[in-house]
Amino acid sequence: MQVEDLIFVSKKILLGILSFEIGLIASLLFLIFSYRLVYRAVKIFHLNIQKIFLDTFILASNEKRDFNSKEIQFFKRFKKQFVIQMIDFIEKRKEQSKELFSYGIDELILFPFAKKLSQSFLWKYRYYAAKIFELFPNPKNEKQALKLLDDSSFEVSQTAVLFFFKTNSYLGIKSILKLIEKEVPYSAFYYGSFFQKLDVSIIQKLINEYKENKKSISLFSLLKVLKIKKWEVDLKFLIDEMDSSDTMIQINIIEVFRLYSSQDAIKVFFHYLSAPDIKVQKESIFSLATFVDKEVLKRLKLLLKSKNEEIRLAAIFSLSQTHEGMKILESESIEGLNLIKQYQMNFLKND
Amino acid sequence: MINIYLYKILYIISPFFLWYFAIINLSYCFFLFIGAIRIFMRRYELTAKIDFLLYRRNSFPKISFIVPFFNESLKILDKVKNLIDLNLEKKEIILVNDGSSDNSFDLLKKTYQLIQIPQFFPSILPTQPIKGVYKSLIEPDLIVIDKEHGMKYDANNCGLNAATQDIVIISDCDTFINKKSFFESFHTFFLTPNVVAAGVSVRIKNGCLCSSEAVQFRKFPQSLFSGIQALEYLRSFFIRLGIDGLNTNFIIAGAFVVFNRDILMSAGGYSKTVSDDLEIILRLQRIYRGAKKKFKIFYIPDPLAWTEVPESLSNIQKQRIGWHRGLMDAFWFHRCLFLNPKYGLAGMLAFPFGIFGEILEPVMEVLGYASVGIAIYLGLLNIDYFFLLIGFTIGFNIFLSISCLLIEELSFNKFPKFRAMGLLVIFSLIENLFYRQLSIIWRLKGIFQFIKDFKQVRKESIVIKKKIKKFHLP
Repeated sequence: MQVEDLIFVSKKILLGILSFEIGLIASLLFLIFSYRLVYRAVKIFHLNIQKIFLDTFILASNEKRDFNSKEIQFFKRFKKQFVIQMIDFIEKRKEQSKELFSYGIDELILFPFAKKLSQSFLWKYRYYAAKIFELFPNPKNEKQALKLLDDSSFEVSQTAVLFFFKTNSYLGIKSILKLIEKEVPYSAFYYGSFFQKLDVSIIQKLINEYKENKKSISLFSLLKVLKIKKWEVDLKFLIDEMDSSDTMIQINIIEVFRLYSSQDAIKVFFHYLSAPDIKVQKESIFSLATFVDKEVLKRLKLLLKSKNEEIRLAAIFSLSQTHEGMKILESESIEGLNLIKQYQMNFLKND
Repeated sequence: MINIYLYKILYIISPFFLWYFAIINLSYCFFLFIGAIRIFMRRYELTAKIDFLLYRRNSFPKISFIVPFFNESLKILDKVKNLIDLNLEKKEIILVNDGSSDNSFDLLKKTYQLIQIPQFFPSILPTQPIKGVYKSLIEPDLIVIDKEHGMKYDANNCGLNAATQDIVIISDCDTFINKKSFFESFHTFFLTPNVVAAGVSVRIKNGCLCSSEAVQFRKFPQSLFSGIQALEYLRSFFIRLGIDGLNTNFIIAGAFVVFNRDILMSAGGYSKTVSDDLEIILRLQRIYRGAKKKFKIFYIPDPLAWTEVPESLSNIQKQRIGWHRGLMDAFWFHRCLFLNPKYGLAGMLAFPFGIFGEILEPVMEVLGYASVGIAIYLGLLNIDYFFLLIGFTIGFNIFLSISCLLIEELSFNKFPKFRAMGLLVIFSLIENLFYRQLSIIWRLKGIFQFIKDFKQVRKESIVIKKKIKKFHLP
């Protein structure tokens, strides 16, 4: 019996494979070390280009002058690098760059270039386009920005979002609500700080539109916006939505009303104390924590006898938040009361 | 007569070995190729100046960090400092002291001025009794739970009970989280729909200086063994990224793992097994695939966590025996996945690959060596062929390691010094001469341990079955 019969491969083929393998390893090694050298050279080149741009920006900025034709010619030649360096410069030196880039360079170079970039199949370039629109917010570019808002890349769409916050565009804000509604989790967190600066009239307009046509705006997204801060808007329309069977809607309604210490809020929380979902019940118990109201205390006291441990603990926590609540806990001789007192003294101060 | 039998056995198994190793190695190449594509795509993403709101600390939702520890007095303070230095605006850090007998808890108590508070959470997942819950007076986000000794799984479950947020990060005490990478990469977790769990690429921190801002490669690799393990980690993470590309990942390193808390609790939390981190991922795959629900368990390719590896052979041995034993436990618990079309690619591809490519690999290698012995005994060994095949096998292993080094060089470039890269290239050769053989012996020991403790494994298997039955989507 020959070995070839056993493994079906002749010695020649095996030798060939082995040589190929050694050659492959050698070329991989060559690639690693040559790439290392090339990478360093390219890095040095980029640093030099970067320095030229930075020097030009700083010089013009210090002299408080417009870019001259020579510089503009240079920017046009290295458009891509110009955009990258400019974005970087503006991000890092916001105040200094405000004046520098307000000499019509947007109309001259940036906007036409951004329109071109926004059609690129590479998301990175579309991102640069969105970034240009965002840094130079001009309502003229709303159409392009709306397209970028629907971009499949998160980085692109989020940059377009900023454009609409800066231009206070109602159409744009409505589109952002649609983004929140989509599956991407936690997106509302990213918009939080921008919504805070939004004009209250836009929020009221959104509510009015929702009241007129419930299908035009998603309630879920609207609630996400409403719970960002205490808006001076009429929230009565939410009372009608309380019976929604969606747990997420229920929790969001509670969170919105938590911002308002009104009688309406107490009604909402009482309503959800009998919700079928434990999470919703807990949220409403926690929300009642800050109210010093006889009826509230009475309801919380009753919950101390709940069969569910989570509900009981939530009630203890809520009662321990107020002086009156603590008295109830003392009278009920809740286990670990001293620890609760210490907890109140130390822990709550820090929170 | 015996010779004839041996001759027949040799005749049957020789081609089998050859094809076995050919298929397994080709699978490695395939997964490595997919892994490389994913890494380069990720690298491309990171080159854009995504410097806007994604990096803003306050745009992160609140995260619960859970750090179980047992006798970690040398590392626990560094770990807490590392988490605080992340400067996340909204976070809670839950440290679970798993009944340490050293002074690690006292150290924490003194450094962070801990005061006892009431237990504010119900023990939904059963754990060993809790001795006390503490809160820091100087670090408002820090909570320490002191409990009776269980195992790591028990401490993790206790931390899960206490966590209040949807997103929990469970991290080992000796794992360093790179701040820059954390802010660069972690948003991927928020942006992926239907995430159940996620892991990150883990690198080795032995010989590196970890400060709050960055990791510096002072003396990397510190020793032959840490260097070889660095290569192992690279290979393993890149190949896993390939497997992950098919959403069939079973293994997420316990050094740093992110979970959706509600889902994890609903699945019954961690189980009493050596590789609890592996088992829970397998369980989640089984549950979600079985219920045909949309889900995502994935790796963030960026090297975000840095962990310490053992430097001595005896400690490496201990670790490897445990890993292999744990791997076998978890695969046994979820054996119903094997070639079961109900579980899609996970059952038809990844699970069999795990069995044949990882669990049975040491057995096959030992049988391979035995067949060489038989061939010598029968006088059938063809020396030319023997050396050609040995050369081919070693060459292939070196090829895999060098490919990983190339991918690393072209992507994250985490070995910036020529010395480190040069040494790793040399180690990729050396590891084949003795380390690989040792690793086979350790893994075989893991198999024997599994067989020895089989009764216990069967008991736990029943508990896990119950957990799966109880699962409901939160």
